[in-house]
Amino acid sequence: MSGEITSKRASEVQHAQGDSDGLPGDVRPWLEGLLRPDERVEASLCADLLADGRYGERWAFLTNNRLLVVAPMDGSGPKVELDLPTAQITGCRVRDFVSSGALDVTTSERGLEAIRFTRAFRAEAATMCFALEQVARENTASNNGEAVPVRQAPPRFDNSAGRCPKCGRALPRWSETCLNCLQKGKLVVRLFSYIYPYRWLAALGLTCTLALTGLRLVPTYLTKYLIDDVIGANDLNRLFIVIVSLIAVAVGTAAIGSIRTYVMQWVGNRLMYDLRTQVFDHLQVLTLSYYNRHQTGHIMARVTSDIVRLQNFIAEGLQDIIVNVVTMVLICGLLFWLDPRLALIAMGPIPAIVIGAYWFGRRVHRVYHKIWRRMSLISAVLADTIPGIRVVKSFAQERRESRRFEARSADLFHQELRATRLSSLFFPSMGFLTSFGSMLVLGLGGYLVLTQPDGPLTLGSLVAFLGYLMQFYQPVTTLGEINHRLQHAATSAERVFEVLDATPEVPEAPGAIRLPSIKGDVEFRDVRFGYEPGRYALDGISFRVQPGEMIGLVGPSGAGKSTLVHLICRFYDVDSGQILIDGHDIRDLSLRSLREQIGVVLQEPFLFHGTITANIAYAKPNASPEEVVAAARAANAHDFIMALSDGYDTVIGERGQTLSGGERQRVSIARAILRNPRILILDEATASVDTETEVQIQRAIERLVENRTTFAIAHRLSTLRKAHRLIVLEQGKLVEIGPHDELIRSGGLYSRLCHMQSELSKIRAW
Amino acid sequence: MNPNEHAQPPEPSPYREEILTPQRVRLRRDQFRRLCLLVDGQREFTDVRAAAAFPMSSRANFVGFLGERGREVALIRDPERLDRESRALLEEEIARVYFTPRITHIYRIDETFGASRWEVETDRGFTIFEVADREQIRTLADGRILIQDVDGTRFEIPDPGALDLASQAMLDSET
Repeated sequence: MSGEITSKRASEVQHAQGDSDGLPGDVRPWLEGLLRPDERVEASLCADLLADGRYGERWAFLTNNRLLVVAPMDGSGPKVELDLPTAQITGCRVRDFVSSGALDVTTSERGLEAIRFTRAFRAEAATMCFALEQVARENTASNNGEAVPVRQAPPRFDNSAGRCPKCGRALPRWSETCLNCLQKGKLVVRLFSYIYPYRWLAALGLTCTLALTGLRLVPTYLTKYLIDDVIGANDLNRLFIVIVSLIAVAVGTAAIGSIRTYVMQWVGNRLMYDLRTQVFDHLQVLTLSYYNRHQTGHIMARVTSDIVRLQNFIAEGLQDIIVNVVTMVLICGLLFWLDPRLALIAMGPIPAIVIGAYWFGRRVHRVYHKIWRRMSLISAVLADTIPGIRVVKSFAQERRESRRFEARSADLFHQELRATRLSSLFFPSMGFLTSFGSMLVLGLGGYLVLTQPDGPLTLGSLVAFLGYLMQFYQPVTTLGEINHRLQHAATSAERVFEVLDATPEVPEAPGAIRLPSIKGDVEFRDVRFGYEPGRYALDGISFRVQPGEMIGLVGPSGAGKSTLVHLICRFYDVDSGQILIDGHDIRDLSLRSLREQIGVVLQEPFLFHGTITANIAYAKPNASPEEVVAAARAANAHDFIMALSDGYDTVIGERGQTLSGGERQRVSIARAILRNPRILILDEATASVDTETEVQIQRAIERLVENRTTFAIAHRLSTLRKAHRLIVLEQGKLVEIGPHDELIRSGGLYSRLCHMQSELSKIRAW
Repeated sequence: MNPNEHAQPPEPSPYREEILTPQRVRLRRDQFRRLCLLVDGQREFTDVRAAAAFPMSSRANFVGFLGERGREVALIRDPERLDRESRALLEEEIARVYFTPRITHIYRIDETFGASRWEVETDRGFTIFEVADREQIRTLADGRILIQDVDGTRFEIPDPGALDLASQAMLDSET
């Protein structure tokens, strides 16, 4: 059962990170037996695979002089499988496979696989690898007689993707929050804190609700009075009183009902408004890494549907629950007051109803989920074939598509039948149970009324009893749903609150410096950064850029060019190393003052819905018309804007659909010009336009880059001919840096890329 | 020097246009445990990675060898006809790259709100894993079931009908 041990171990290790060495208690005793007196553990790794691929627990320990891999045997004590002096280590790497990975260590003579693990242990393995690499670097440095590099704290890799950060359990994909750690009580309290400002209105709504519940019980009681004391006593006056009372109750119900609805909807909507605003404000503060982790659709759903669901819960769900519970308690009391013997009988079917409703809810949920999956399979076929109908027809595959569709359709049909069988069994049984209860009551009650005319049970009481019984069973069936509804509301609340609780991951330092105007001196010092544990998108980048210099960033896709400019904007923080602007670490600068000085032109310019003027003046809303026109002229955008019938007042669609790619690009350049930044970032600004437009954009860019520190990413190297220096990246490493001519002469990667592109442009020139 | 570093990127492999017969290639591990591919007894590629072209449908019929920057240096067909030593090495490598425990018995599946926790016996031993939602449990056209857990580890049930009935019943409510 070693797999179980490791599974538990994994979460234990993840949770023990706060400890001094992160080791579970039962490891320490045998580990201490293995260590020499002066030895201490610097890094450890618990993994779950044996060398032959079976499950089993293995530990790797990096001490100050050895790398140990140990099999923790039960009973017979630990077995050391690898004992390697750290002085021999020259390299280390994590090999990532489809479902698993391995940590390989090399010495000057050999290489060996130290430990294997499944993907759950990837982050820990990456941390171990980081520690081993440092050892290797130290060894290399001391062998070459160089200074030993300073040790860095290993980066803490995030292993929590898909798991609850608190309990380590898998998160259901739809919820994004851990339902096991969900503290419903706390959430409700927190939700009530939003109601608090409107507590008097909410109290009014609740009072109305209770009054209505009471009023609904009156007519049934009046029936009893009517039968026993009016018709039985032949009293016309009393009949008049009964009718007036009934009318009064009806009027009261209608009036109080409409007040209640309005008040509760007001509170619900107001709450929704408060939450929506708060969530949106907070979303603007959150960092890009939050947006990377969550799908755009899911984030939008939190602002819209989750909040609507909360509103529904406050305005309706909560009331339903209160009304049902209060009704049940009141009627239950009335039934026992009317006749305890009959009441006991009436309670008979209740356990069966509650259990049945609960059982049905669970079963039907599973079946509906199956149906839902089959529906999405059908939609998938539709989404394939309808837009792709030309392909289907041109390859004459209509029949095959029909068969594919029919198979899935039949599958759905069978699942639908399953659901139907379930509900066709359930609802009639529930109906039978309730009417069985009523029949029992009617039987015994009728017997009592007939045989004991002077007994406590009158005809009117029996009729009232049966009336209340009907009102009673209905809320009972909804009892099973209460938990489900609470759960859903709590989930929505959790999701909304989770956004509010998320903290920006590039925190502003407490005494952040505001730089009024920077010169534009940018320096990278041994910068390492990765989006995923152990995979560096940038690995040991160092360079320095003079103010006003234009730097071209070159390299194959995935080399780390965009990552590099993201780091300058501080969308992410470096894992190790430093980025300095005018000699200040950018983590010490206030985010606002940093980004105010940076202008970005993206490959796919994003234009907001609004006028062209509003888009150009996005970063400077109070810009004068002269400034806007000047910026548009500098960006070569003025002419095409004037040609539009609405000129600068032209409204452009959600993504600027009415403009061509080149036009949108020039609007975004005008936006950057108007901002007048000290550092300019051009991310493939001319990637997707024709040659003539490229020339126009090129000219606009040339005006823009003057006297600004510029980082330009480009696939077309011709775009970079004005660059003072080029930085060539490959697989996250800086491979070349220097002016164009120098790099061409050195005959490295850049010269090969240039050569390839001039070949290509010959083809294009044909 | 780090043995993984290359001063100059290598020129593209001359074998990129053809599918090699297994007789033309030999595999070995060098002293650093790197997989090396020798073609026609002439050209050796160091530190290659094996990749199956159809890992789902037929595991090792076409096997590519990827060199630096993930570029393929050679593609072979029917690797079972490799010489014994090479074949053993390739099988060892493929077993690592496509590590996929096969589920032989299901002890229990606990499902809460769409996420499920599985306790199973596999050909690699007992294990527990968690699945984030049912979309991660796929039934392939040939009836096999593939499961991907929350960390990205894959599991396979080659023939669900061959499982014991208790396991099948638990599996049915998840597919």
